[in-house]
Amino acid sequence: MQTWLDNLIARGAFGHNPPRELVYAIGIAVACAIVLFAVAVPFASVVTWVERRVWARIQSRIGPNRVGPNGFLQWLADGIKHVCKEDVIPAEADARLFKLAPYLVVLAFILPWAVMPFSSALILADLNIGILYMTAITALTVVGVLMAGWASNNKWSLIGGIRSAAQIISYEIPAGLSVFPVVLITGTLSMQGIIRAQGWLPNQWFIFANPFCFAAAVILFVSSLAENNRTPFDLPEAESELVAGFATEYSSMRYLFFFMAEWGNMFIAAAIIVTLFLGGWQFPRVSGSAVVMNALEFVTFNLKVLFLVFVSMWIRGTLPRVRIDQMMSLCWKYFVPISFIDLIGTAVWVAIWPDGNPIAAWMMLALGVAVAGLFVWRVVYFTKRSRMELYFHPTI
Amino acid sequence: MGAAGTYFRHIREAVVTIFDGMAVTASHFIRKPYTIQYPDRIPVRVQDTLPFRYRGILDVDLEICTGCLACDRACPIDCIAMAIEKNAQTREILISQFDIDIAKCMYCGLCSEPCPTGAIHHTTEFEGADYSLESLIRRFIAEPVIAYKPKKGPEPDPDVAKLLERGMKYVDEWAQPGSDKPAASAPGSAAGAKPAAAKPTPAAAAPRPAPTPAPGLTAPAGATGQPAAPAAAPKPAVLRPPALKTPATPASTVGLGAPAAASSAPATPAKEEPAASSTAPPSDDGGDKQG
Repeated sequence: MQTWLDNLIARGAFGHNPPRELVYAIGIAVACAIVLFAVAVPFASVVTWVERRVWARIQSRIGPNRVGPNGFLQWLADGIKHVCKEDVIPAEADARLFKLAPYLVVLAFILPWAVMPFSSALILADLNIGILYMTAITALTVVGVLMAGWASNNKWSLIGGIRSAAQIISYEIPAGLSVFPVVLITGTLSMQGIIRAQGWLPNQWFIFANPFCFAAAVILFVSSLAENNRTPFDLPEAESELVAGFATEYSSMRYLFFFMAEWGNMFIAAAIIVTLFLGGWQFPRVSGSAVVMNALEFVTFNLKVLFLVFVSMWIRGTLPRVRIDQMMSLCWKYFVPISFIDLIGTAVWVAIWPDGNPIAAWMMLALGVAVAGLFVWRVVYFTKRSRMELYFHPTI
Repeated sequence: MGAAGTYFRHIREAVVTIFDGMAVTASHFIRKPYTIQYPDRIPVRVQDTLPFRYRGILDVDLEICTGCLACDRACPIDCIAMAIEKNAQTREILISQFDIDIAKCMYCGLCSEPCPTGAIHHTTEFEGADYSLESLIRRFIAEPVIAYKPKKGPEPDPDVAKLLERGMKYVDEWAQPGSDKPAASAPGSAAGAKPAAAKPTPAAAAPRPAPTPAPGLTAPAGATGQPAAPAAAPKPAVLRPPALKTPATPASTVGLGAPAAASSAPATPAKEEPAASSTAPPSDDGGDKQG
């Protein structure tokens, strides 16, 4: 982004000798606004519709299909309804903290978009600490959640807030540790640097680089589910247990802010995994034109991220909720040791094969394909066993 | 090494069960959902799938109603309000009011059981919800009609005969439940189509043109062997079947001797009160139908 602005200044688009800092500030602010309002917030809204339809098909029902074509405007109806609701602040609640908490959570959702690598040229700021920045900012959620639980003046909200904070903090550790194998291989924290170190072929992705990286990818995916309070780790917002956990006392738009942040974070978490392990926006060089290549890369990145978001919705419809003690034991007894083993294993691997081991990559890819084939075979088995009428059209 | 074995067993079990679980849910993606999107996106109207004996909203075929008041007497909640006058000279029964309050009706069927011709019967219609309580009083009579006189022989008028056949089939079902008479399809579909077409909307007035009294019109009476009319078969001196197809002329009650019967016995908009006509109303529909 900054280089692009530099080019524009050099070509005299802003007059003869403009103040550079001002051009940077305004240009990047405009670009941020575009990214947020054209990508982030629409995604966080529309994904609710997609999630409800995916969830419904998993449960053999239909999902919202009346408001707009195939129910596409359901999110708009829900948003308008929430805006029209009364904004209730409990009497004894700490009003300032109560109002501030959703903004902090949404801040944790908004800030990582600055380093989101949509394509080789479409990134707002290619920080050389990109991935560290992302991991650090997503930890801001804890402050907002704790603040919400405390300021609600409600015992159960407080318990929900503390549980959620404990969950997020606990799962930061395996998530952070799972980022490091990739950093060890590439030697850089920059998002674009990590993507450029991979190729467009699956065997060049870091997920298949060595078995430790594969395990690290899985652990990163599950930890990011836990950090977002997604099922199976959605105890803090479990309706049957804590009403809405830390968000119990919130109504209307403040409530929606929490959940917009949750759904938007799905994209960010998926983007982290795609960047680190699945090759990012890498696309074979089929055209010399930068515009065409960038467009293709943009599409590739989004498809990969949306696939992971779909997997996260799929898991939501599949798995039951874990108990708080099961969740903690899973994190500390299983994920943390395995992440450490991954880190050390990758370090040893990189020491032995500094430039990577393509044979191991092909073998891992073959293993991955075999697992996928086994999965398809199991799906066919379950479909045949059910003897139900098949229906391949996504909407009904 | 029990603990280590347990540890790895846990990991293996978690991975395998989650893998299988995701395969199950993936197989759901390609299945047809079970949801039935009633009422607008279903292939067949639910009313057409219900059996012939389904006790839905009541309907009255006035062409074959004999005005015997058996249904009125049988109703345990008094939701049927009828007003009839017997014309002394012509021995005709003039029905001036036939209201059924379907809000009160409990769909027990006790009214259709004693009906001699099966004029009052349940349909398969069940969608009767509406916004006003008044519209739930179904008034079947717009102008007073002459009651039907069951013939000794077969009913000559084919339309009335069809109604009569369906009505008798209905009544026979009550008499011998479970005796599945054949030929249930043709009268059933005709009967199913008829009430379904009759009452899709709340009827504030009679939906069908009531059979108008056709004065002085005689038709050759049928021979003996009419469809079994178990109950009251009056033995009139003169047989005068009502004609269905003559256009409705208002207050064309020339054939009746009682002048006040026509003028003062309109289809009253009042709820559930017997028509207070100046001619002596029949004594059996007394004041026991208030409210």
